[in-house]
Amino acid sequence: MPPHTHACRSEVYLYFDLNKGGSVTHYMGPGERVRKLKLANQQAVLSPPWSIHCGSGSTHYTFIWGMGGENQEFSDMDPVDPKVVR
Amino acid sequence: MITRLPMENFAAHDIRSYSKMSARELARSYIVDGLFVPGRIELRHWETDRTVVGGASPLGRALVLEAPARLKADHFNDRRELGVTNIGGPGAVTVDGRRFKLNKLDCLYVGRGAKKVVFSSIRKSTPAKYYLLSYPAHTRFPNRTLLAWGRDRIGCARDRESSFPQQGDSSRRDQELPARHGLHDYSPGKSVEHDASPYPCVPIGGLPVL
Repeated sequence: MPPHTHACRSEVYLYFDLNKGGSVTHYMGPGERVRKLKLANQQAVLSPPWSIHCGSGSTHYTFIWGMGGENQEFSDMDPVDPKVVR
Repeated sequence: MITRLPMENFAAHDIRSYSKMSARELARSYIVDGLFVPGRIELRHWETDRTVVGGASPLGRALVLEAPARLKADHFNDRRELGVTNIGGPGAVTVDGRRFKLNKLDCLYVGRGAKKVVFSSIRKSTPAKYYLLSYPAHTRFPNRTLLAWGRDRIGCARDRESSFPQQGDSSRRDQELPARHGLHDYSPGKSVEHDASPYPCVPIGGLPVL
């Protein structure tokens, strides 16, 4: 957070080392139409270029963030005002 | 007859179809499950950016990374680079005969052109689990490791510039040391997602690492 998109890159997140029964809620989609995905331990989530991507856990978690695309300098991000997220 | 490693495909859905998906369709389209099956390599292909995400979970027998049919290649890395992160017990990855030992949270970059990548665990009782992420590559960079400091030191990682340990390529160590590696600091009240401010980014091979 704050959420953002980047049309030049997609990302993949692996969430792991969650406590037993723990979960992570991953938020995706355009800022004005955000939807949730409930992830369990050692599940990955695909984040398309048009989607915001952030998460909150019911417990501690670790994640691996990886990306593919054309930009490595991170000047390509379009921030989404948290006030418009719904 | 050669049996190719299976690789399920995830379609690249556009933003319009996203809006019409049921909750189940959404989960099926974006959640990748079942990556870590004991004794197997599991691979998934995502059409967006031609991503390959996977897991290798060797037990007693080492696992060889083969090229799935979809890649139309003799070897997995013929036109791809590969990032490997161990999230399990201690293990070793051998790339074209060169062995890289990876403990938990250690990473290995495997450059384009590698012919044989083999995953193994040191102990069957605490098997390694390798998370795999791969993208097309147009340049070959050297294989190298990126070693974690240990789980209790993650929070200090940001301060530890310029003294990053690595295996292999010792003659090139100085010029290839990253200024910052991929472990974020965190503290209560601070977001553990990456923040949106620009980062100085250091690529390991062709893969950007934060």
